[in-house]
Amino acid sequence: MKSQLAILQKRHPLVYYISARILSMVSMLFLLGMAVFGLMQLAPGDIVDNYAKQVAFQAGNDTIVESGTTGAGQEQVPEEELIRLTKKRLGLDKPFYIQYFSWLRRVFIDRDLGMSLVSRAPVLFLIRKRLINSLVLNIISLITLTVISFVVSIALTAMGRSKADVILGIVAVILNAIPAVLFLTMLQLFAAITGWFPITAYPDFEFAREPMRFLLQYPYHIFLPLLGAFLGGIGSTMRSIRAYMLDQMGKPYIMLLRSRRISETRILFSHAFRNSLNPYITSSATLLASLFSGSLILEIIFSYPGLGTLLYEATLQEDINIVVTNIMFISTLLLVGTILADILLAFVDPRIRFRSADA
Amino acid sequence: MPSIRRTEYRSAQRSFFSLPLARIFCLILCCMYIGVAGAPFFSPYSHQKKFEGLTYHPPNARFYSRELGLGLQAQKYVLVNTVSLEWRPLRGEYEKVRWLARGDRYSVLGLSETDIHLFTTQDYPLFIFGADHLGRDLLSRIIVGGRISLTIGLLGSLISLSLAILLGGLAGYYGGTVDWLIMRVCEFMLLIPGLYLLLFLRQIFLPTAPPGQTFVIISLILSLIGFPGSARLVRGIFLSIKEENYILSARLDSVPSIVIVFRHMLPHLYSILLISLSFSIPAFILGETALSYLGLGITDPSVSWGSLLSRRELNLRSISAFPWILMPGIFIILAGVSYNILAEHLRDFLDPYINPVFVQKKATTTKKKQSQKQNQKPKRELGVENTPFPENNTEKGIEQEEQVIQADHIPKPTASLYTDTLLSVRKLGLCFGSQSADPALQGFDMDIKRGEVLGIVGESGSGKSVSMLGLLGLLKYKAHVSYESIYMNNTPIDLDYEKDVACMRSHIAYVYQEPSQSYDPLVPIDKHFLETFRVQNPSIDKDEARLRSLEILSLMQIDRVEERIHSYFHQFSGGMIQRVQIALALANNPDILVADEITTALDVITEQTIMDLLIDICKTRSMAMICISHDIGLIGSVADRIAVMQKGRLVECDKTSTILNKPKAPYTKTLLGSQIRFGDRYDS
Repeated sequence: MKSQLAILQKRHPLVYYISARILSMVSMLFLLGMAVFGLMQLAPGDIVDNYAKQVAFQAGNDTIVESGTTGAGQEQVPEEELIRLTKKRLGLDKPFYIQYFSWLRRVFIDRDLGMSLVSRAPVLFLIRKRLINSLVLNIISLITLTVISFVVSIALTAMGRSKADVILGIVAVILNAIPAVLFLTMLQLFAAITGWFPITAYPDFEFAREPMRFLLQYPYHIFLPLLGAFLGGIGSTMRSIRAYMLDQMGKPYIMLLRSRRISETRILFSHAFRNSLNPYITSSATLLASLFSGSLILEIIFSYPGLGTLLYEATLQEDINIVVTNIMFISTLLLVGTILADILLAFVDPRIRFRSADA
Repeated sequence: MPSIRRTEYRSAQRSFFSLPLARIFCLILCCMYIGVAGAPFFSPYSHQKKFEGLTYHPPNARFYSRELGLGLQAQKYVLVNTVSLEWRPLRGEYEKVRWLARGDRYSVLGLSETDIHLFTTQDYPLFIFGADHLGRDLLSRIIVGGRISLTIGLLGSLISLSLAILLGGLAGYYGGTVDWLIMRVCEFMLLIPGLYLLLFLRQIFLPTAPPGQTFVIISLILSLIGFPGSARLVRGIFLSIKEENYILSARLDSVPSIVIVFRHMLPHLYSILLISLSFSIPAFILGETALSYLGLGITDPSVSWGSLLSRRELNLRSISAFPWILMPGIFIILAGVSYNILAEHLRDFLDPYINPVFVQKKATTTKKKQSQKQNQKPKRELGVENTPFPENNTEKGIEQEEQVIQADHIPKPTASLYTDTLLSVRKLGLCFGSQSADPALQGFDMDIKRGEVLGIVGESGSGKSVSMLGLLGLLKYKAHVSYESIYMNNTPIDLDYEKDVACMRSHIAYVYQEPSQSYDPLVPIDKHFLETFRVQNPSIDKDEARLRSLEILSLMQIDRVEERIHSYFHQFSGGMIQRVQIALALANNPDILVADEITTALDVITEQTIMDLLIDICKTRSMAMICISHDIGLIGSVADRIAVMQKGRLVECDKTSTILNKPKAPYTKTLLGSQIRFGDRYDS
């Protein structure tokens, strides 16, 4: 077995590398789920009790609905007893790892993520569309941030030490210090006062109904919130990209390229830029995470139907099913993002691509 | 050792506080903390006091009125529209503000009670920042709210830093499985969006908790999210310090781990931790703001800046009608900016890991002036080509000479007209940073003929490499270069001209000492060659470039060249990289090859082969070579002439045999004496 692995490592280093990454990610997700369930058990009893109470209450409601007005007998069962019974029925009295495994079995074998306790809709149905919405929003803002930060950083590096550098540094510090809440609210206020932009971030109809009109309307709706997300993230992104660029420009190989009379433009674009791409790709998964974090506020303020609003509402309504599924979904999503970043890195950087082959 | 550290730190501190910007923001932060510490005294009213019927009262502080004259006073307002809550000022109705007067009662540190406020009013309230939806004074609420907002950052950062030091330290110190486990957890926490995790943890930990607990729990949750980043930082530093010799020797002396960690390793973290602390505090403030905005953070009756911007009160209608309710936001921004600027300055002063690519602006501007001065001279001399060495009759030159004269054996520019002199340099000087700093090189003279091997010897930091880098114009932005004259092939060179620098670079090829840093890791060898060939001949195609590079590479005796030319540098050993580097340097047929300690990183046998190769190539191509090394033995075996350098000055320069057998300067004798020969004993 071990020798077979070694052969795989030798023959297809990239396949080995990627599968190793995927394997470690899956095990991490597994551990995360474990931690989530463990935390729920650790936490002061209310949350499980509340959950059981809600389920019991709903079950009660159902029977009332089913049996018409004759359900008065239900009231006779004392509340504690009811909660205890429901807990037993749902397996909530068992240790958390058993609960976790039964949850896993339900999700992966029965393909059932459970129901929302409040709206009583299947969780999968609620999450699926919002997941896409959130993803679209954050991918767009990731791309804009990346492109603009790199363009500005390259320009600044090419200029050497200039006033623009100092000014942008100050702007970045100020942008970093503005709470997203305040910033987005001001943008919304701007939209409301001038009437140039809609105050919601999502068109008032679905994509499926009028795809063409949706595609035209969507950028118009999304522009202001995206601007907010962009300005909120640009400070730190630009700072780190600029640091990567400067780091590369200070390395001896750049000096040697210069000594061979390679042109500054070439040094900047085909050497310094390409090399600073690597640490950026490594950190982009974390950046995406922080973008999701920021988009939570954005989604709430501009009432954008994404994962953030869903999680927020669920948190307020103590809809634990949705909260747990949501957190698992978002982690899965970002772990997939990390794997993609790792694969991209392997394609960009020969040191990773060939490392295992040489070893 | 510790005393040096301390003085370094102190001097850094002094210059830190001399910066006006840093000083201003430090002052702002101090004011904020003082204000918050004495919150009940500084706030005119109790933050819970509701003024009946004064909902959304506009700001009414005035400094002058005809009735009361100069001084802080409150303008009285009347509600004119009870639906839209529109207020109008009452003409001529003012309330005088009383300083250090009695107002609402509050307790001092829970010990005694008092009712003295810095300023307050009797009948009609003074709303400096207006009133909120319940008619409470916004200023008082901001001052009291700052208590939570400004301390949540400190408390949270302290918790997360302690966690980071503990976990990062464990991971860095013990390594292995512990390291792997802790780092995976940290990576993982970094991957989950902070606010999502925050909402989840908040949901689990306190659906309903008393306000006192909320504060602690929220800062705990925030620090749980904040620690992984710092933990990674701490781990990295621990990992690198762990390998240092003094830690290794402490471990060999079986000093207990705890002592090593606390006495020898933690002190290195102070500056980094200070920086990371000041960067993370604003993040905590923003985190609290976000949570409280969502109504999941601090809630009534407690008050924080975030809760003042709560979602329930911050709707579009109220903001456009009563814009002053955004006032707490200004304070959040101010605190955030202050901390950020403080952190930036702290980092500039304390971070030893910063690699300065651009020096202070001062140096570049002085350089410009200098270059204007120097521009005129070479121009004038262009016409007189027959006398390549101008006499030292300018005042500046004489001055410099007087300074430099320290030993009489420095070769004078005897104008003995080397007709075959390739490169001639007079009085090259160089300093890093501002001009007042210690020069890294001064009064450096050099001549080199075709086919000659010049050795430059000296200890590290004596200015050997720096002189060559300066000549090639590779220290632009980093250092200020001055010189009296540089002649390349009998043409004067002005290093401020791009063209002249390009000319220098086309004649002189430079090979760097460190094999692992001398290449772009992402570009394979053949691309490096193609790129270099294209400098001289932009239309060269890939096949031709390949053929030519193969030719040069085989000259360097690299086996299996054909298949390895597409490889990347990291797939080669140090010796191979140096060969490829030399081949690259030879690609455009230079006249002079500068070999800057190229064999330092190599073993003795490889060193010998490479040096032999180099000498061979130089002789066959009739190239000159400048060989830089700290090893006088190595230089002695290859060089025709040797220049000895010490502390940025040329000590002596003569034929190899003279230097080796009859050195004049005492420093050269020491150098020669310090050579280790086979059979020598360390104690002799």
